Amino acid sequence: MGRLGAAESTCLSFGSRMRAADLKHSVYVQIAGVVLTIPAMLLLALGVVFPFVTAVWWSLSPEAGTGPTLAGYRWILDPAFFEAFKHSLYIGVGSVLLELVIAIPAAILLNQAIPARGFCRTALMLPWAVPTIAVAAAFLWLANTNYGLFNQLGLELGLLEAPIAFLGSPALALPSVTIAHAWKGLPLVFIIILSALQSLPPELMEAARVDGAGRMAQFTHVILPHLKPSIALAAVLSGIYNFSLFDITFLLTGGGPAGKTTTLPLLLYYQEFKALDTARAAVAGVSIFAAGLLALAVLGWSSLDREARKT
Amino acid sequence: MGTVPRKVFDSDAGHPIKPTSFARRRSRMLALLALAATLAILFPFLWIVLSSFRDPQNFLTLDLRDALPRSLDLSSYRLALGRTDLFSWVGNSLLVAASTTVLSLLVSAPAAFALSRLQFRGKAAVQWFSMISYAVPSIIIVVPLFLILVKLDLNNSYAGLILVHATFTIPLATWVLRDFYRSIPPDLEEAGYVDGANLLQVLRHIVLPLSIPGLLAAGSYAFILSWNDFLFALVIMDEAAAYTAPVGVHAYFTGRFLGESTWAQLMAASSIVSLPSVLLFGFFQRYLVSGFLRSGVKG
Repeated sequence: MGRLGAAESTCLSFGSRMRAADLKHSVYVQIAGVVLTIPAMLLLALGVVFPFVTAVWWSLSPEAGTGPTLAGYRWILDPAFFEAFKHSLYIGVGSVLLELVIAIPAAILLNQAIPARGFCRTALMLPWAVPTIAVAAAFLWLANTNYGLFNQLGLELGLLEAPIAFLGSPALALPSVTIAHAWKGLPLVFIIILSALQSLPPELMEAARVDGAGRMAQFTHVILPHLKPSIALAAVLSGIYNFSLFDITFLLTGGGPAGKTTTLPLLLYYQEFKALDTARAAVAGVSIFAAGLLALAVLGWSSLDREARKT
Repeated sequence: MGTVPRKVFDSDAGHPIKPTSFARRRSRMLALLALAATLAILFPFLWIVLSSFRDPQNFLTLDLRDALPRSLDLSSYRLALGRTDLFSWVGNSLLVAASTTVLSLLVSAPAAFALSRLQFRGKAAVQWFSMISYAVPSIIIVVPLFLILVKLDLNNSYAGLILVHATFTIPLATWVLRDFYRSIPPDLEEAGYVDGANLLQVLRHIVLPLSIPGLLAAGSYAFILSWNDFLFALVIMDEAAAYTAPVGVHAYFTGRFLGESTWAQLMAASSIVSLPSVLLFGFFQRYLVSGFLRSGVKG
């Protein structure tokens, strides 16, 4: 049996019923597989891989006509770059923490048999579908200094003495922008944790109950350890998403006040379209990608480590 | 007493529901809590919609009692549609999102079918390739893509934007459809082969009619992603008449002194821009969730 034979025996998902006479069929399946997938692959190669490779190439050639060099990456040590990196990291980590604090209790609550569960689950996914322009409009309006609801409620309830410019103050702009990111990213974290909870064997909870574990003990000793890999996955995915998201910060503050919310994606955009420095924009882009890759690698490495400890 | 499910086992939680009045009251309390929390989380979005129905002439109020709409006042919508080019921006967005949807379904459905039904060499490579290309954040490729489109003379054109949107809708649509094809048993297709039909005939007469729910789900996914896109549309479309709705709203309201009725218009415009995505999401959320778990990285 050569390769053809192996292919024949598995070709289509009902290979066992295929007759030997259908040998040409398996060649046919090989061709069909390629023909049916090639348009998608071509579009992705041209629309993603080629531009990506182009960006990497630009980042390595700061001056036209010279060979590839890492000199352009010296810009990473520039204080402006480092500040932008810090802001992106703040938004990535901060929004994930907020999302987890909301998503974990929400998922536990909505994993119980209660009325209105389906409605709440669906409704909590809604922020994913809301366009970023509307997310920005909502937070601009809510956080408005004089007429926004946050300030009005704060003043009315006596929590504030004077209205606060949430998005205009150097100290509060970054946390405010982070909250908007957390709102948009909540559904992803929520759904990952909810589906992990649904795979929690009920016998495990039953056993813990029989052994006399209280609600708190059930949470810390049964639910949380079970959720750990999903929490890590959700944190890394959502963190990368918010770390590299351009829209919300651009629309809410444009990077201000005084650059206090300039993130790496915004720095990239301004380098390209204001400073007209394509090489630096490319360096920023490759750095964003590398940071995401690093986070994924840490996640992969730690889950491998966990597997290793199990055996 | 219709509020408590009659069945003994809840299929999701797996816990027996004891039909005691205590358990019933507890689950009602939890439901109230869940509803309150859901409303609180959705509040920012609800607040735009509520604000859009207020009187635009009395919009910037310091009195909290005026912050809620008194009646269903549509003046803000009239102003937003009258003073801005929102109508044509929405038209542009519809054109782009609908074309992106059709293009991604045309490309993704065959790929998804091949990935779920055919054993061919290179299948794993195809899956890896689409996963990896989806994992590249948009912000990294936007500049090279823009300059490539400029070279091809496709910048500022719908065709260019549609092709770019397709690069991130295709992987997702392929995954949603692949999962869908895996969920339908191959029996009918087998029967088709046994009756002597070839692959093309089976695709045309058996697979396509069965695919409609999957196509609707993948299609609404692609539509929402394309409709909501801000970054690519911002960079690629630089002529005001060709703006998509999100970019048009941004261009019109940014830097404008946000006076009384301008805020009201912004709320109405944001509600209009959100409407198609939110409606599609409402109709197809059941199907969308399976693709959700894969949608992490793209921004």
